[in-house]
Amino acid sequence: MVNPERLRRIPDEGKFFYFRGCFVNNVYPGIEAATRFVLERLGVDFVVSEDQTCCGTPEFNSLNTDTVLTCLVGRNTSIISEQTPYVLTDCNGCYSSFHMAEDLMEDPKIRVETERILKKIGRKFEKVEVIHIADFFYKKTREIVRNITMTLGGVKFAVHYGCHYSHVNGEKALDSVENPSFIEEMIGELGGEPVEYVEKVLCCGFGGIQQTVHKTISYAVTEKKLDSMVEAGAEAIVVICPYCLNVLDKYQGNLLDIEMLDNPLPVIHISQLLALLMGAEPQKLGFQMHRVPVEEVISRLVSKESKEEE
Amino acid sequence: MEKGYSWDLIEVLSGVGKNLARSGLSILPETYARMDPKKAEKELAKTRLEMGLSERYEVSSKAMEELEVILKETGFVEFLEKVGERVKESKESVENY
Repeated sequence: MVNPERLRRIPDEGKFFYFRGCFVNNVYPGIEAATRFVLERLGVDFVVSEDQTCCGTPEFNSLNTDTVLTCLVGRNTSIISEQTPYVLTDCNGCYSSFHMAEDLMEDPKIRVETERILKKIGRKFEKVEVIHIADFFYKKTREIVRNITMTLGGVKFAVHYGCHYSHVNGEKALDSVENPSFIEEMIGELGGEPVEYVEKVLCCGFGGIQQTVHKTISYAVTEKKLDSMVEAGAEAIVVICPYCLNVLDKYQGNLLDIEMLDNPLPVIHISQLLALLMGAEPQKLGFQMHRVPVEEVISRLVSKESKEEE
Repeated sequence: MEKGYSWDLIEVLSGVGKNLARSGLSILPETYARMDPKKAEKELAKTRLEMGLSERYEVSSKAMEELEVILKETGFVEFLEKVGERVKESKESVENY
């Protein structure tokens, strides 16, 4: 259930910094195009900056580099706070980097070292409000519903939230860690049918670096997750993280290549889904970069007018 | 290596750090091309332009200058160099065995 206090803290208006992650830009740029499209349609005032760098999560996961993470995040917060205290991100990795760095800064040794290094470049770790794009869109559900031209046509969606949204940031996430449901609520509002499945809070299989260092275990987790979705009758998957999208899509793509999968589930980021419903052209949302074709979902969308006539 | 990971894995794990030091970004198009050659976008710049984005996602020179100081002061550059040396030594010792 959504925490009302956390929902209240998400501002309705003002200026936002759209923090762009490397994985989104260099692997799934369609997610950035979709996020921009939705924000523009909603009339949200946002800025981007080439002065931001990577969030530091890949190094932190791979190489246990505490101070590199706090310095990168600290530097980014300094850049962001020059424009606004509100940050939007469409990647769970970037989202959690800010929260992990804040937690690490509680350690006096790390804090002193981080402050020393940031001072050398004339910066300091600033307090910013980091908002996941899914949380932001949830807050804007009414406006989104007003702005869509298509509805989801009853397609059954399984929602995957991802560990770096829920587990890593338990106390800061909008919804419950054990059973989040706010995206399911949105899916329902948009004319889709959310499905409940047993392994909803299970990892996608990426597991930080587990897909690199322990492939067999990682793939077994991905398979368990997908099986659970199929068992519940899902026809497509909605994610809020580009890494999770990659894992769930690539795994199925590999099985499709060797003809070991009959009914793959298309995987779509929440930004792509909303942009699609708001009238964005599918080819401008990067679906051609997905291994599992998304056309079946697109073909089932129903125009809002005909839905209202019913 | 102490955890028993092979050098090819260590090269992958330290590769994101090398990307960061070089470009300010950890995951680059070529990184993904190695991860998933079947679906890596060969014409990413063109595709980005078609989507209405800039040709390439880049970090400013000002950011790179500041990043350089951070990576030097945290000892990250030195750490990556040491990892590279250890991987090289291990490879050579196996080749000479």
